Amino acid sequence: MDFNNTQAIYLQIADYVCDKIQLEQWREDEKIPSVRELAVILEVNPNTIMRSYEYLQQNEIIYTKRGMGYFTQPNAAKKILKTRQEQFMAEELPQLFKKMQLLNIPVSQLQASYEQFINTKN
Amino acid sequence: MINIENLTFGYHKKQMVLENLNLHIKPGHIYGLLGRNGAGKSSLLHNICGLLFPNTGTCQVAGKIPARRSPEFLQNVFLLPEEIYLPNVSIKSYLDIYAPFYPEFSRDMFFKFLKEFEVPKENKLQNMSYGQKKKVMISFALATQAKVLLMDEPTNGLDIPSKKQFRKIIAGVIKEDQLIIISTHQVKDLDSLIDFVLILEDNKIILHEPVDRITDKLAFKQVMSLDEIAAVIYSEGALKGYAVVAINHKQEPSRMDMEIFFNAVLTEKQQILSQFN
Amino acid sequence: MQFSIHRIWLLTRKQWVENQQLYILGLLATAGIMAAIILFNILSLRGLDTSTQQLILYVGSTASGAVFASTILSQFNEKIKGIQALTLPASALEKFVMAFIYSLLIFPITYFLIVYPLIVFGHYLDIHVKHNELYYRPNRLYNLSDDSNTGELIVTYFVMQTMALLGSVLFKRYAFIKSLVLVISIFFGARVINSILIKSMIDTEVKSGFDANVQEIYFNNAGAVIHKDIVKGHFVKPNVDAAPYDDIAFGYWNDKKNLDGIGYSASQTKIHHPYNMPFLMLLYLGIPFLWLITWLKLREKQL
Repeated sequence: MDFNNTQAIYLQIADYVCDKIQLEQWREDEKIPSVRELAVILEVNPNTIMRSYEYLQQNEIIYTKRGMGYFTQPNAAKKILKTRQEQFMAEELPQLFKKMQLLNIPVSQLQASYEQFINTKN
Repeated sequence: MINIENLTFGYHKKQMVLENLNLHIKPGHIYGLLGRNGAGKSSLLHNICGLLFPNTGTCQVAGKIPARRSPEFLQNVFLLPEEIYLPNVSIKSYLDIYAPFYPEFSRDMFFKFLKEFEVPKENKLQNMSYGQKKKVMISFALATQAKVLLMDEPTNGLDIPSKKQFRKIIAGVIKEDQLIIISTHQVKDLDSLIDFVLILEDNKIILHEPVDRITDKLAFKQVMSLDEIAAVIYSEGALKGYAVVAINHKQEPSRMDMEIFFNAVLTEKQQILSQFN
Repeated sequence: MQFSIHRIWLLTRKQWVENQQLYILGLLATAGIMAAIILFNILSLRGLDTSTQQLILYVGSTASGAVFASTILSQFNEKIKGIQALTLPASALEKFVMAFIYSLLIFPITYFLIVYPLIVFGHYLDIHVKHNELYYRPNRLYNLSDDSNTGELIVTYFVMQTMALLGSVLFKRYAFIKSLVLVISIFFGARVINSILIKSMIDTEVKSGFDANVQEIYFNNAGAVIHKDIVKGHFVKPNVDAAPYDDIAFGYWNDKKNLDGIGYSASQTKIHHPYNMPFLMLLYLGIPFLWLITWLKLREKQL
């Protein structure tokens, strides 16, 4: 995996796990790779994976069954979606607005572009 | 696992390479040993594995004194040197003659690593390229399951796919009672593996910190202009603005750039080190 | 001090597997050179006489053995090889014993098994094909058990090999040349100093010679003692290049003697050294002492 240069690796790994869950590659309430397996896949120190899993546990995305490993929470995908929506609203949208203002693009123009985008994607 | 106290070492009496060096290391981690050329990284590793003896001070590794070089010690402390010697035999007979010296040696692991490195196991060692030989030695070193693994520039001579394989193998192999010290110039190859940083400078270990603590104390950022960020300690001009090391006042998590951190420590030593006191 | 027979076996096997090509070639080369020397001697006027056979056996094995011995421990001197040799999990004692086994057991036995048959074959050619004779007698085949010097020669072999082993641990570069110089200077140094000591104690520059009581021992062709007698003898000049543990040999005493109608001649007379035992003991004890130093040096070896 290629990590970006700015964000802490353990957070990037947490994001990677969330992506997998959101894309339903890892199903809800099912076992996810062990710390060591994920360390090998991502070529990082197992201690870093440990930290990501602890972080995800705190955020109730995954949980641990004693002696069996890590599992996704039954409502993990929903939770991730909600968190990411909030994050988008709080962090990315203001950035976008700032740029729109700079380039003088009205919000009404976005409506059409967005519909076009959705249509071509389907 | 490694306890070094007031170690002084020099090849000549007047010129000390290591002076009053202290180092206490516990297992379960991958340590990156960084330092300029000639700072004494290899000398330190050689003192740890018993190839060199300290002039004064004590060195204890895995409960033993390295300089005695007892068989039990040597079975548990493996040095992978930068330049390796391999005899003119096939991989199979190399294994036959060397593996029995290591009671914990795992042939399965050895062949698994060779396969991951894509080294054909029928080869004669002398006909191999430097990189191939290095891969055989890395596989052998890891298969000994030694408690302390010292690697001097392990990725030298490896091509890009092999470096990737190397990272995968190391990530999968380290155990809780095991310790890996990697001395390297090529920090970029390994910075996702290393979780403790050791910096050797001025004949001693001036910094010994977990990566987590470094990113707690310092923020690593890329900015367009230096005005965007407060409390900058060190910056490097890059194509798109600056790579910056700053005091982490806001407790933001960031990704440590080991190369920039190393440069920052060498140029702004006092300022950086004072953050960790 | 750790010692495990199993690890010594592992080290011995490792040494063989890693060097077998070199060792086999070396043995073939040695056999070739020795065969050439034997052939050369057969073709000479004296033929392959007993003392030449003895020389081929001892000087040959001592010289080639010293070269061989100095290669075994020198692997600890080379930077890259040395790291591996020193960090291999075996104690210094075990590594030394491996070198000992090769240079002091395997090598001489192998040399003997290869060169002695060549000598036997050469001897056969010498008496049956070329019909060489020395003093109207065919050359005899050298026989270890007949030679009164066998013990001394084996000790000399051990000393030389031990010095070669020690030298290769002691010196980092040009180990073989340096240990050779060391051996030669000790060996000849002792002889020179001893000669000077002897000369200071007894008059060796006698012009007219002197008389003394000597014990005569008569040997037959097979080397067995047939008669002993004490007579007055006449000496001309002593030959004083003796070692401290040697008897002093005198040359030029070549009287024709007659016993039971058979003529006897002597080429050498010795004054027995009454105190040679302590010196001999020192020599014998010196060998294990040198092994001890070699082991200690190996233990302290750094790169």
